This record gives sequence, C-alpha cells and structure tokens, in this order.
Amino acid sequence: MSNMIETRDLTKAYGDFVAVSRLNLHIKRGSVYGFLGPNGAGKSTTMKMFLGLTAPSGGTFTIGGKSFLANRKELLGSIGSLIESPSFYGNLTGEENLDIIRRILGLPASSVDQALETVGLTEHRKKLTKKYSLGMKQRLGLAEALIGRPPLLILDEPTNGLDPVGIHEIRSLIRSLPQQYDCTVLVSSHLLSEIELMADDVGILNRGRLLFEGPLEELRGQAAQMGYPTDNLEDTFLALVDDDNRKRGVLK
Amino acid sequence: MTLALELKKLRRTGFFPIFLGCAFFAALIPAVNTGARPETFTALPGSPGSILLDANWEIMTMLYVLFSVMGACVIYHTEYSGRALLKMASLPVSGISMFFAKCLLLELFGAASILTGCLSFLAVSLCWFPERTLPVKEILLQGGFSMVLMLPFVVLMLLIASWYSNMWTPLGVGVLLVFAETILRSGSFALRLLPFSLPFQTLSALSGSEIRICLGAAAGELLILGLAAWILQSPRVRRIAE
Repeated sequence: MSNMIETRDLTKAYGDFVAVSRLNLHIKRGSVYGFLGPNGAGKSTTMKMFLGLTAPSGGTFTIGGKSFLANRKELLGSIGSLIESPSFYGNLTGEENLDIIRRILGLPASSVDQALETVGLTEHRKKLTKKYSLGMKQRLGLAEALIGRPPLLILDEPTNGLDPVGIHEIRSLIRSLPQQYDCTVLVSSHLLSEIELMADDVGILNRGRLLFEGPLEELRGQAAQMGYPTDNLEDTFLALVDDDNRKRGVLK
Repeated sequence: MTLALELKKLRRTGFFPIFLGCAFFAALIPAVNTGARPETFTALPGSPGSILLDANWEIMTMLYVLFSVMGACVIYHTEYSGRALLKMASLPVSGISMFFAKCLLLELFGAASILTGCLSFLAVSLCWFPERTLPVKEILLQGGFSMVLMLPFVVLMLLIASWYSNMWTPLGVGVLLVFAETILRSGSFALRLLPFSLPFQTLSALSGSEIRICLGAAAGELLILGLAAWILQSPRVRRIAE
C-alpha cells in the first residue's frame, strides 16, 4: 500500500521552541491514521503544515507523492480539513457556509445536502451558525471537511464538544470513511481510547518527537517488551509519554 | 465568482445597511441644507452645481469615507469572528484575489453612495434652481472624480482591516486617519494627496494641472498599495506574521 502522506525530518520551530522535531510519518493510502499525543505535543502544528497554514522550519513532506509547495492549489482542493476548532461565518446558515466551500471547490449543489446529511445537520441547515451549539459547530466543521468526498481528510480532535452519542456517531463515521469514500483519514486526539476505536495505524507524538508509529498490535508488542502496562492502551500511552518526559528531564 | 462569494459572505453583517444609511444620509445633506436656508444659495450667482458642491460636498465626503472605514472593518470582522479566514486559507482560493474582490466590493458600494448623492444634487437643483441649467455633467464629473480618488483609501483601509482580528483597531485607525485629514487640509497641496485626503478634493477648487496631479497620485498610490497588498496577502507572508 503506498503512502498518502510522507514526511522526512519535518521540523517546526518558533524561535528556540521546537514544536515538531525531525518527524518521519508514513500514512498509508486508504487507512485511518490516529495521531496521538498530549496537548502541546505538536499534532495541530504538523497538521497545519500539511495544509500550508504554517511553514516548516526544516524537512519536507509529500501528499499523494506531490510536493505541497509546487502543487498547493491542487492539493488543497483534495484535502478536507478540520483544524483545532470549526471555522465558519457566524452570520451565515450552515447551508450557506457549505455552499461557499462548494463553490470554491467547484462541486455540484447536491454535495451540500450530502454533507449535511452525513453529519446529521439537515434539520438545522437554515439556522445561523452563530446560534449552533458546540456539538453542532463541530458537526458543521466535519461537514466542511467531508464536502465533495476528498481523498484525504485531516481532522484535528473531531469529537471535541460532542456528547457521548455524537462521539459514537462521528467515530463510526470516521471508521467507515475509507471504505465508503475511498479516502485516507488523519485524525488526531489526546485520547488513545478514542483512537483505538478508529485507527488502523497510530503515531504517538510527545513534545514534537515521534515516539511510535505503526499498528496498534505492534504498539502492544513493543510496550510489553519494554515493560510498559499493556492491559489498557491508555496506560501504555501514558507510560510511554511519562518515560519520554523522564528521559528528557521534564519529569522526575 | 470571487466577487459573488464575497458578496454572499456579507449577508446579515450590517454591511448593506451601512451603505444604505450612507447613501440615505449623504443624499439628505444637500436637500436639508438647501431646504433650511434656500435664499442663501438661490441668491448666489453661477451654476447650481458649483453652489451645491461647495456647500455640501465636504461633509458628504466625510460620510462616504467614514462609512467606508466601517464597511472595511465589517468585511474583515466577518472573516475573523468565526475563524472563517483560517478555513479559506485551507481551501484552493487565492487570498490575494479574495482581498481584491473585497476592495472592488467596497469601492462599488461607496460608488453607489456617491451616485445617490449626485442624484440628490440633481433633484435639489430641479427643486430650488428650476430656472437654471441642470448641472448634470458637472455633478457626474465630480462624482466620477471622487469615485476614482476613493480607490487608494479603500485599498489602504482594507489592508489595515485585514491585519487585525479585533475590529476596533482598524476602526480606530481609520477614524484617526479621516480626522487627520481635517488637520492636514490647511497644509501644503502635497499633504492633500495622501490616500485619506484625496477623496475630499473637488474639481471646482482645483486647476487643470492639480486635477492631473490628483489623478496621478491616486494611480501611483493604488499601484503601491496594490503591490503592498499583493505581498502582504500572500500565504507565505501571512504565515510568517502568524
């Protein structure tokens, strides 16, 4: 299986602070890749680099085998994204917000209805987005990412603000996307329990460095070898991060 | 298409009422001014166009400029308030074309307000100066001249508004610039060529060479500001700034 995203020593520094350090990711085409790390690990920064929202300080990356800088417009047309929190025009309805994106992407009018239906917002299509609840805004953000069924989805903590039922629905949706839409999903979270239910592969990031990359089974095996708890993957993740922090002298 | 999209983004923002209000109040000025003291103006010799422009154009331009400042602030507040600008940056749409579409939109709405003011002048001329020739050419020329001289100010204001997520900052800067004009007005002719002073110039107060200088200055400023916008709105520069 070829890689949809590949990074080589991808680095982002803000002055002396290194947010992402020499990252080498391999995100397989047609997979759900869980990008895991505590808050401030560099997940959002990495995703922003993939969308051209922030420039790398070093290293390179390719999307679908193409360099971002040389193919910016083409690649942005094929990436659906939800970064940090949903972005929208509060003065417009959900439907109008999606229509703006639809026109930019040159999609048929029916794609708005499809996106609204996929995230369960059809009923609230005529409501102003500034009056949406947090969960509805999150769903709209997802609809904005899903519209036109792009071959790559970059979702930064997509279940933020959703109630348990909403979290379950969105998880199931993300899980089904590669089969349904033939796409690749890069999804971030700080909860392994959440990623565990969605992802084929995981990348664990801590303080800008990649601690692990591979399938969950491999993570369990590696954790067992290193003497980390393996009964619960959340404990494995915490042990991995704590150990890394200790090595770096962040924790005693 | 970009222009239509920018227009759509401004629904329910107050942008359209702003310019409706601007057109209404500006059109009201010559009517109220002449209606309140008709003999002051009807007793004056000369073209009704010159009489009415001299008496009202400055205050009307102040309205056009202040409402354009508000319009520019509303345009970018809409982009920043729901972080929509971030979404736009992750879509295959050029930030530069978005910016220039906004400029065109603001200029068009300002021009429509100016045109309404011109129509008001003609109505006032018909009503209070029925025996004199209707100054259609004179008023429309002044209107067109002002529309052209507004362009650098529109680009400058949108450039300022695009750099501040807090709407009150560009609003404060814009109002300060407009009021700075009232101070600079009595200064040298060169000071009156600054982007926020240019729209206040009237054809009747300028010589032929001064008119050419004003138009040249507007073209030069437009070129410089356009170039600045092209650089400052590029994704690379915006990323560095963030």
